[in-house]
Amino acid sequence: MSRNSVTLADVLDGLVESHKMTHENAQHAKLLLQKKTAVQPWYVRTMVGFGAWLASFFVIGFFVGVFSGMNEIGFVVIGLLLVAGAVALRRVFTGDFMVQCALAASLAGQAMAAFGVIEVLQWREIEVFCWAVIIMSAVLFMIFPDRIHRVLSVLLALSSFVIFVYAQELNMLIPVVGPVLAVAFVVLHERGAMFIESGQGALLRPLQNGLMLGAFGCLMLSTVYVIPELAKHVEFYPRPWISTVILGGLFLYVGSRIWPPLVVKAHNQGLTLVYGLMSIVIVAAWSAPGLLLALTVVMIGAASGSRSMLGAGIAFLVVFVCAYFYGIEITLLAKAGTLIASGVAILLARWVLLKVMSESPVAGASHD
Amino acid sequence: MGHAHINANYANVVELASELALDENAYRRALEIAKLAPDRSDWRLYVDRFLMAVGALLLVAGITAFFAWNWADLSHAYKFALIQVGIVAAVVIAWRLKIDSLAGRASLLGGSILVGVLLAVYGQVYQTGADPYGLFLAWALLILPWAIIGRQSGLWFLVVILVNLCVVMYWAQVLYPPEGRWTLARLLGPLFWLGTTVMDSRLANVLFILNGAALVAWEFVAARGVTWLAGRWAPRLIALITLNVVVIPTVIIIIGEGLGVRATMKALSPVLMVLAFAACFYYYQYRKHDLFILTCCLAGTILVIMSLAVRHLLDDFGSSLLLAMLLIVMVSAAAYWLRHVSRRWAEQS
Repeated sequence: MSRNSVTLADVLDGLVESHKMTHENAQHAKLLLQKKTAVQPWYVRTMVGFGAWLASFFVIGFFVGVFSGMNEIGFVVIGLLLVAGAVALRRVFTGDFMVQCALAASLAGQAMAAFGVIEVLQWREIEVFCWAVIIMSAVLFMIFPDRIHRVLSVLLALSSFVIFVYAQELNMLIPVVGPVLAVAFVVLHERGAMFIESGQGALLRPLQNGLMLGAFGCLMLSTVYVIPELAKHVEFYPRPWISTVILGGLFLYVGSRIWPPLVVKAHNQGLTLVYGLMSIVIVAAWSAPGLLLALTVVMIGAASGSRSMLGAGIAFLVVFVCAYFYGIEITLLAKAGTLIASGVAILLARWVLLKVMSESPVAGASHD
Repeated sequence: MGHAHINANYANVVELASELALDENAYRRALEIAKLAPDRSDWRLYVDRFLMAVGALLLVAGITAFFAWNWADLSHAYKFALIQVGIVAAVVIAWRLKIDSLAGRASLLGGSILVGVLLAVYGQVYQTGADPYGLFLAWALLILPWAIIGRQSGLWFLVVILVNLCVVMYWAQVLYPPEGRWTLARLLGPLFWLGTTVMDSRLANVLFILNGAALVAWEFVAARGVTWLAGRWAPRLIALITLNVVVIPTVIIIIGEGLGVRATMKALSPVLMVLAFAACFYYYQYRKHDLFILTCCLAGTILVIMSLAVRHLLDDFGSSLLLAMLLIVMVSAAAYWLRHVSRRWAEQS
């Protein structure tokens, strides 16, 4: 059976055959799955998410119009009521229409509550506001049973945390935040089975995706220089090498989980060569840690057969290279050096990997 | 019909395992049964293709950055020599490594891009004063033989994009230069200015015919079993352009009537849009299954209906809720229908 033709029914049958599930349980699971549908492709989910986001603006417009004379506390109360209603709606119904309604109402409610809180604080004490958003997002992540909403909750919480860090003038932490999120993403990927076994599997992929996207965003912040005129009151802290050190370790760790079984035993020095080349890639990407993060995500995506992770890693690689190219913090000569050295190291790595993965020690890369 | 035909991809297997709260061993076994982890030959293929593409991307970006660094100081002869050596090297590599190999294809595509750089530098050095449409036309014509012998979708897609740019430039610089406030659009950069050209629905209609013809030709040839046209990314992007150049003018005609938009022959864009949607809904549902293009058609339909609703219904705050409901109903119905269609395809296969 080819990879693409395997269905969920085959998986259930295979579990029964390998005694990981009883026949009765599998039959019961099949009956339950009769009502289930496949996860929609990313473009359909994007359309649904965009529709919910746009609808939330109309809902906000309605409530702002109806309660135009309302004070700040009123906005908070109405906002929280909307969110509570949305949670109840989503927990009871699973049809597309109700899911959409719940998403739009929740986003609108959160925006209204956030506006009310910030008005109460009179646009001061931004730290309090950030923590309020983080707590609300954490609670909604747990109780709002929707994949898109959960990813948005993770991103909202992470954005608020980054704003808090800047508000506290702890800019030197920013180059660490992206790599720490990447580490959390990798740990979660490795320990995903524990989530599933404990019955919390529904939280796994939204948290993983949120951490991955958060790592991408934070790394861009810490790497790409922002034109001062565009952000007069925000001091960015581009110190890419700090991120490179942590991400380099992560890159080697993920490599150590993937490459050993693939290197043919006949190549005695194969693994040493692979690790050596990975180290060269790390050194070459010293001022461009986004390359290491993208390669790490792509490796994990390929190893687990997750096309969305693979696509996200490749997309981030392209975005990062473009942003890096247009950043004005580093001279063009330094950029050229980094990009050429990384490119050569990666092509060299390809050549070596194809050699050490070849069944015949004398066979080389396919096109060399 | 439920689970029986649901593909066991990563997302679906994780979802299934979560629903059943499988233990760690059973979960790992489920991943094995689904054959999600690549074997050695799959890894070789990934490494071969991905690292080649990334390495080439970084090298090209690095070399570009290097020349950008000291470009102004280079003499004209050096500039031309460097680019021409690059073109010759790309062609020689493509020839030596075989034109159908991955490296050969990447080389030929790189050489085709360098042809455009050479023409741009020629115009810059000699200040020819020629209109930019000439550059895109010459570029497309010069790489056309390579596209014919190269047999790769990337090269043909580049040709389609160049012809589009040529038409836009010829229209906006020679035939109908922007007037009044639209001339200000140039100040905000070429991309913004190019974006505003779609405000002219006549140009949009020409682009629709051009890209629509390219899409029909692509699908026609691909349907005859031409293997190098089997990939879906290029026809999807061409379809996206084709639909955009009729949806955007239609929305502008609906919303921007009072904005002084040059919407001559304005009935044509909506008519073309309806025809395009009808053709796509039929072809990509029954002849060539493509959920992405069907999703684009539905998104466009929703956008146009919402534009009509905003224009005619949005008069007070109460109507905001009505619009929200309308949008939610349409998006939900679209998601439901797409799920229904993909199930039907799975049943048929």
